[in-house]
Amino acid sequence: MRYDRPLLDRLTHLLLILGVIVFGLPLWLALTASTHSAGALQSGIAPLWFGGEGLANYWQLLSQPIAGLGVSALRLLANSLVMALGIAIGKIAISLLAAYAIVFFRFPCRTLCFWLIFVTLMLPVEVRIVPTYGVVARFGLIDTYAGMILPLIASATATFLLRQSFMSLPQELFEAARLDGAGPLRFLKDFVLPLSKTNLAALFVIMFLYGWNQYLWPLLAANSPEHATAVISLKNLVQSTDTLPPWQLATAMAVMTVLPPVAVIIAMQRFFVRGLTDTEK
Amino acid sequence: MATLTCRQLSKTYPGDHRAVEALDLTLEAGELMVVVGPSGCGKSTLLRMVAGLEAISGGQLIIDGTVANALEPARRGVAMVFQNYALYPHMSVFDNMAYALKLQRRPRAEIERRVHEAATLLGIDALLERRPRHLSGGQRQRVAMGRAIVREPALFLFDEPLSNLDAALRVQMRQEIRRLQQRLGASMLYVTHDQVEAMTLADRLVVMREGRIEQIGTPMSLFEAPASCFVARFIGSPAMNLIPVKRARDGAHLCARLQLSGDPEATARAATLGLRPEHLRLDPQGELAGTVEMIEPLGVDALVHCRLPEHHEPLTARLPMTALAASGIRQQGAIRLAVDGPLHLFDDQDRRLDHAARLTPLPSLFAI
Repeated sequence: MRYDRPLLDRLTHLLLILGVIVFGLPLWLALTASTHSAGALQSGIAPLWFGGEGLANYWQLLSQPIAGLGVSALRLLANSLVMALGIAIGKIAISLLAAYAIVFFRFPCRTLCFWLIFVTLMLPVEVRIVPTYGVVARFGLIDTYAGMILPLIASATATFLLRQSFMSLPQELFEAARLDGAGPLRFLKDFVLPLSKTNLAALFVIMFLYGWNQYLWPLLAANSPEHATAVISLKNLVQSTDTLPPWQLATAMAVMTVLPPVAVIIAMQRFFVRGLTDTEK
Repeated sequence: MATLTCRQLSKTYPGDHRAVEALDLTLEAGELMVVVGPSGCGKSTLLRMVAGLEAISGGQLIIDGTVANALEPARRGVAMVFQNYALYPHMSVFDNMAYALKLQRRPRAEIERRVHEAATLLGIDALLERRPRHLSGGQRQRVAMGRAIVREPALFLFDEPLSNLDAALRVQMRQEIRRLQQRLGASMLYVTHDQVEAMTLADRLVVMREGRIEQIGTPMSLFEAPASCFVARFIGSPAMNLIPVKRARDGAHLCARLQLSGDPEATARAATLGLRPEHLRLDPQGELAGTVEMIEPLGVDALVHCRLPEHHEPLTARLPMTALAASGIRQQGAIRLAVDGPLHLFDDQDRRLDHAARLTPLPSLFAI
C-alpha cells in the first residue's frame, strides 16, 4: 500500500528510527565496552565510543582459557556451533520425514499421529526436564554432543510448518510424477525438497537460532568445560566472587556470540526473502 | 496404440457413495473416445481408475489384453494430461518432458532425440530451456501434451485439458489434439464436460450420468437419435426442446389443438416430445403458435425463446436473422413455427421411442 502523505512518511520513519535505537543501543554498548580496558569500565559509566583495548580483549578471549571455565572462546563457539547445527539439521530431517508421511501417505491414524506430534508443542524441554535428564543420564550421554542435541531434536513446530508447505503443493504434481514412474523417495528428492527450498531455509534459520540460544539444557547436559557453549560462558564471565567482573571480556564474548547467528541470517536471507515473493508453485 | 476394456468397472467410496457403477466399455486401438457428462457424473473417476490414481472397487480393467487393476500407474503404459497441466514448476520444459525417460534410465541420446521430436511436433522446440511459469496457457498445454507424447504410451488420457484456456485457444488446441491423434494413430480417452469439444473431437462419444453410461455412439448418432431425454438435453447447442405430452381421451396432445399422430404405439406411450431448435422454421401457417419471450441474436441466426400455451417449458427456435427481420416478429409478440425435422419421442421413463410421429393441428373449435 502506498499513500502520498509526507507527514505520515515522516512519522513512520521516526518510529522506525526509534525502534532501531531501542534494539541497537545494547549491542552498541556491548561493542564499545568490549574495546576498553578493565579499569575504564570500573567507573560504572558505560562509554559510548570505542576504546583502545579492543584487539587485546578479543585476543585474550580467543587465545587464553577463560578463568573459571578453563577453555578458550574458540572452543566455546565451536561447541555452540556443533550443538546449533546438530539441532537445526536434526530437527529439519526428522520433521521433513514426518510431514512428508502425514501429507502424502494414507495410513491408519494419520490425523491422530499429526495431533500427537502437535501436542508435544506443550512439552518443551523446560517442562520435561527431569525425565529427559534421567533418560539421557541412563544412556550415558551426559557430557556428550549427542546428549546435548538429541533431546531437542524433535520439533512439532517444524513438522507443522512443513506440513502446511507440503499441503500447498498441488495434488496433480504428485499424480503426474507417479504416472511418470517416480516412487515416494524419488518424489521427495525430486519434487518436495526443491519446491520447499525456501521454507527449509527459513526453518533452518529459526532452528539454528533456537539451538544456538539454548541455555537450560546445555547447562544440565554439559557439565565439563569441554562441552560448555558460548551462551553459558557468558554467565561464567560475569560471575566472580572477590573481584569485579571483567566486563570488557564479557561484552567481547557477547559480541562474538551474536555474530554466528547474524552470519546465518545473512547467508539464508536471500532464500527466504525470495520465498515470500516467489510464485513458483 | 492399445485397446482398453472395462468390464463391470466400479468405484465405491466409503459411505457407499457409488461414483462409477458396473461400467462396460471398449476402446478400440487408435480410437479417440470422449467421455462427457455433467460434473459429478463419474467421468473423472473413470479416467483416474484407468490411470491408476484411484483404486478400483470392482470389475476388471484390461489394457491391451492384460488385467491392469493392480498395476502401478507407471507400468500401465498410459500417459495423462491434467486439467491444470501439472507441469513440474522447478524444471525446464526439457526436463519436464524428459523426466519419465530419465526414470526409465534411457540413454541420454535417446532422451534428447525423443524430447526434440515431440517438441518439434508440437512447435515448442524453442521453449525447451524455459520454466513453466514463463509460458502462456497454450504453451503450457503443449508442454503437458509433449510430456505425454515423449513416453510413447499405449493410451493417452485427457482430463478436461482445455478448460483452463480462453475460447479462441480452446478451438485451436482442439484441432491440434485431433490432428495429433490422427498423426500418431494413438488411442485416447478424453474426458470433458463441454459438449462442443466432445462432438468435434470424438470418434465415439460416451455420455455418463450418475456413474452409469447413458449412451455410447458416434457424435452424429447421439445427435440424431438420443437414447434418453438426458442425452437429448446434453448433446446439441442450444439444447433440444423437451415438451411434455398431454393425455386426453382422444389421444396425445401437445396443446389443445395440436394432436400427436402416427404410430399408435408411439402416441400411446409418448410422455415427452423433443424438438431441436434448428428444426423449427418461421411459417405463418405453422402448427406451433406461441408468444415470443426473448430474442438472442447470435449473428447469422438468432435464438428465439417462445412460450406455448398451456406449457411452462420455453420453446427455443434457431431462426435466421434475415427471416426474423422480414417477419417483423418482436418480443412479447405472437409467433407461428413449423416443424421442419424429426420429432423425438420419449416414454415416461425418459427412454427413446423409435417410432414415427407427427403433429397434426385439429380444426379450430370455433370452426366446428
